[in-house]
Amino acid sequence: MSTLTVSNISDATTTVGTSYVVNGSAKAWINADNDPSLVNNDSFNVSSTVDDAVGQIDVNYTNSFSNDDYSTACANANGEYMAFPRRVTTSDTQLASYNVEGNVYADTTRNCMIVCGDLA
Amino acid sequence: MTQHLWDRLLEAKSRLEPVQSKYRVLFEDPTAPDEPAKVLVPDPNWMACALAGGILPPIDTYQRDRLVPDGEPKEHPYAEPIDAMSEEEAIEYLVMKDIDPAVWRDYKGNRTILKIVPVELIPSDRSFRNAWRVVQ
Repeated sequence: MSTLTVSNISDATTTVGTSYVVNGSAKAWINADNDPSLVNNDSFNVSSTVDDAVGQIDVNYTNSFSNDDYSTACANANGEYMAFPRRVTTSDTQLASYNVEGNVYADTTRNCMIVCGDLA
Repeated sequence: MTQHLWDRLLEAKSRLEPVQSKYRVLFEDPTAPDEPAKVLVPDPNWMACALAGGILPPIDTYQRDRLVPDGEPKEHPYAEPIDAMSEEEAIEYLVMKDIDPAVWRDYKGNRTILKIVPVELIPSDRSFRNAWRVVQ
């Protein structure tokens, strides 16, 4: 694999440092179903997922984060559900899906999470 | 100089086809006996990296990094990658990486709390999911 080493990227009118691009890109992401069983549809920088209980998926990272102050954005496919990070460490995040109409954790499809932050 | 693990994963993602494992790891947490059994599912992209070789770091780097405080430099992203593993070796690697040592190393009780099983043995009916236990 060849490496392009540059400090700035420009489109002729605007110039940004490559650090903006590298630091601003997602460091991990996942799309997983846990209904009827846990299936990872696609992902990046994820080593495994753990079906912890109803509506709770633990996402383990291959390359850990430097600290647990990283940012996550979570969503899922169904309107009456919400998704959020329930527990966060440098090596894993528990992604929860919650049925807001029934006020319970519930399994659903296309649980998605994007993670931005500093890698170890 | 060894390429950073994240860069190797990026390159592997563009090159390797995902591999669905035929195994799952069923386990209970001995520190939380009221919680249901958990099911570990290997990630297909990770499994492709494990089977290809030259991407993942040695498992002992992850184990040493468990002891490193947040914000301190970790070893596993910069370690020399290891060779290809078989699927069975990859599952053992995942057990040691992603499951707490309290489950696979330190537990001394009589109950069986960890089993590696074919995917077909995991129930597809989740009606009583929060009551699942490892069959003795």
